[in-house]
Amino acid sequence: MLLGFVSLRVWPRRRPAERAAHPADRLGADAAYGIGLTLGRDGHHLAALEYFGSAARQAPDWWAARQSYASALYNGAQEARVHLGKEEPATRSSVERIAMVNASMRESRGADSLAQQPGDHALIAFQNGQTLHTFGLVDDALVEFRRAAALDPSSKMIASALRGAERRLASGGQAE
Amino acid sequence: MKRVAAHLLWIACALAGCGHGSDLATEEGPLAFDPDSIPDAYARPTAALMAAGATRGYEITPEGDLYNGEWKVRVRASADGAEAAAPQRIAYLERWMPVAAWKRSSGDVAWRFEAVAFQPPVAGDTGLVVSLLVSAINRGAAPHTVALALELGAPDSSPVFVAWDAPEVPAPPLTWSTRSGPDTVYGWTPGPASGASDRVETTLAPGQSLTRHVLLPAYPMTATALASLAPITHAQRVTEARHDWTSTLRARRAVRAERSRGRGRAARSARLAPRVSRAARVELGADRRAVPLPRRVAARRRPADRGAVGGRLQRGGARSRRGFRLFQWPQGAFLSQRGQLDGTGQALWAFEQALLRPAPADSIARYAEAALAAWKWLEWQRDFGRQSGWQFGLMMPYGEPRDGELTRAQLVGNDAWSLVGYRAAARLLRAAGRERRQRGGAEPRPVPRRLRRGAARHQEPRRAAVMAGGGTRLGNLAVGWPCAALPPGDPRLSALATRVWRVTGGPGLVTYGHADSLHGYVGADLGTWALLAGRRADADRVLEALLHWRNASGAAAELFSRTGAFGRNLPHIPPAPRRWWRSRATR
Repeated sequence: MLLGFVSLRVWPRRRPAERAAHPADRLGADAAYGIGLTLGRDGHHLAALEYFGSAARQAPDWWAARQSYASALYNGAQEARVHLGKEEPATRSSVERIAMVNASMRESRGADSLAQQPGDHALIAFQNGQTLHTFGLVDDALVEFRRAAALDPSSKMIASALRGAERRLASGGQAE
Repeated sequence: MKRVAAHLLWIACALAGCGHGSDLATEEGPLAFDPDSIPDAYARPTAALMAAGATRGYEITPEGDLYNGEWKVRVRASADGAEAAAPQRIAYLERWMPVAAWKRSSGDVAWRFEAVAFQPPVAGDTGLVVSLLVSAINRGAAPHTVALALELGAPDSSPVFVAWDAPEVPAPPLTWSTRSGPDTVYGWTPGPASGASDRVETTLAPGQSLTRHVLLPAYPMTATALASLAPITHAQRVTEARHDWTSTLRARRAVRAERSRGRGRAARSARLAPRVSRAARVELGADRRAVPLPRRVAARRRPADRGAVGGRLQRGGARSRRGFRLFQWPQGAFLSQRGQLDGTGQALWAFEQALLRPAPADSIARYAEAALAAWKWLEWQRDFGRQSGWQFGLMMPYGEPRDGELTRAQLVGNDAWSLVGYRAAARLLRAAGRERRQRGGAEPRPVPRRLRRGAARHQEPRRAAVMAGGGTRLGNLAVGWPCAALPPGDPRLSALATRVWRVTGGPGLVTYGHADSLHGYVGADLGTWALLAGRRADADRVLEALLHWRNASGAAAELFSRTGAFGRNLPHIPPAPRRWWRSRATR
């Protein structure tokens, strides 16, 4: 018993395993951002997360990196995969997915606080609207689309999204 | 303490040499029930082996194989070269306890399988291990050569489900273990075994039997860890499981009908299984139909009962509440899936049900805050819609839940649940001592009259159908109960019941989509409404239908044909709302 007690006292505790360095950590902000964009374009949003995150950490005043990270979180929450012959969400459950979307919105607010140009703010508001619309908060989405349109009246993309959202809401979801 | 006791028990057993996992016919006899005597309403038998807290379980497939989402244990049982037929039934003990048994036969040789899941510490707090006992007995007058092969293999090419964390290719390769060692293995057998195959073949004289006990982990384990579990016999595992499940689900005293009691336990055992451990323990899949019992029913209990039940509900509901809170958005809404706007009202209702009995819980303040944020979001929705000038602007906006509704529309169920959310928020805030501010107008009133009027006007189902322009919308079945958006005697609810039940030939389950279909639970709400409306005969028929549509393991399918075919949507539903039969039992 004494030996056991002594062993408990003196035996070195196992140190928590350190997270292995991600390749993104060895890249500069621009390079990491570029790889993130490439991965995102190919639909690998979850894989892009580390790269955008690295870029945002290295360049904390860079709103685009922060917003791209937010977008990767949002898109990653909806990423699908074929796993063992079955198509399924790439994230484990709705708990993780909603947590990612919430994190996305937090990051987006951070990006909005960094952005300088009205067009940048408009883009952020537009992407927020897309997030909310996708998940069914369509009234909230409409507010974001309207804000985006007010910030950048010249954007056809934003104007189109706004018109579509208003049409669908007015028709109870029946209009395309 | 429990785990320490279990360790001591195992050590004691190991020292005593009990449970050697041999092929001899031992005291590990079969359970005293015939699985084929248990009714199964569905076209194919299947059952789950599960445990609370585990992130994986095993399905016992209609063919009699076992599958955990990562690998399959294919069971080849034969006599004189003829493979045993697939099981007719896969039954739980008493049709509710997850101790499964099934039979197969090949000529004179009768095969019997029993399986139970358990959670030893060596499997981790998210793992489980299945104890599988196979026995074969020669009931003929001549000897027969029997063979039993248990083969570890990859999932089917188009699996019904997969484990989210399963690797594409097992590493190391699938292999059985027969002894302790550092290697990672996928099953334990007394041997001999070679790689992924465990095969035993022998000749049975008339009356002679063969018994095989193996262990199947839900996750790969080290051979040493798995072998440490082998000394405990299958019979002991069953005894432990019976004790654990009965003590977990004890005190269902109010339920007097034996059938209903079994059904209630099946519901609770199925509810417990989706609890999983991660960074924090989160209860998932806690279907709203399985959570609480109505306040009015609890209030009719004797005070002592009421306190006991309330205490259990608060303890048991804590995990649900924490789980629900994870789904609250910064806007205040509760949303777990895309387009499912009824989640806000359902979450608030769950908080109300779990937090206010027998007295407001200590943690009520933070849930009241969450409810207030949700209420503000609902109010904002309503105001936004009012100002829009849209035809149905007072209703919740359109949604596309992608849960079988097959439509994008303003769904009546979203409004009904929103009304519930208003009511629950008001009660939570009142219980949290926020009444003064409520009077000042900053907090919600129980049910906003204008919204109630607006929503009620559109709860007539035909109007909803016009608005939706097609698709399947059964959220309106919840309008009478549990949402209570309309009083039970409202003629619109009678009209709804008549219309829905006419399709299926009378009160019972309801169709969902195709006219040949039946839905396993949405019709239960209509049954509860019938009870509240004084239509006891109709309510009885709904209950009979719910009781009928169970498999031998007590589970109900979600959507199936009238012939009992459920396709790939395996029966997994806690069979009936507890509150339904509870209200019957106390009426």
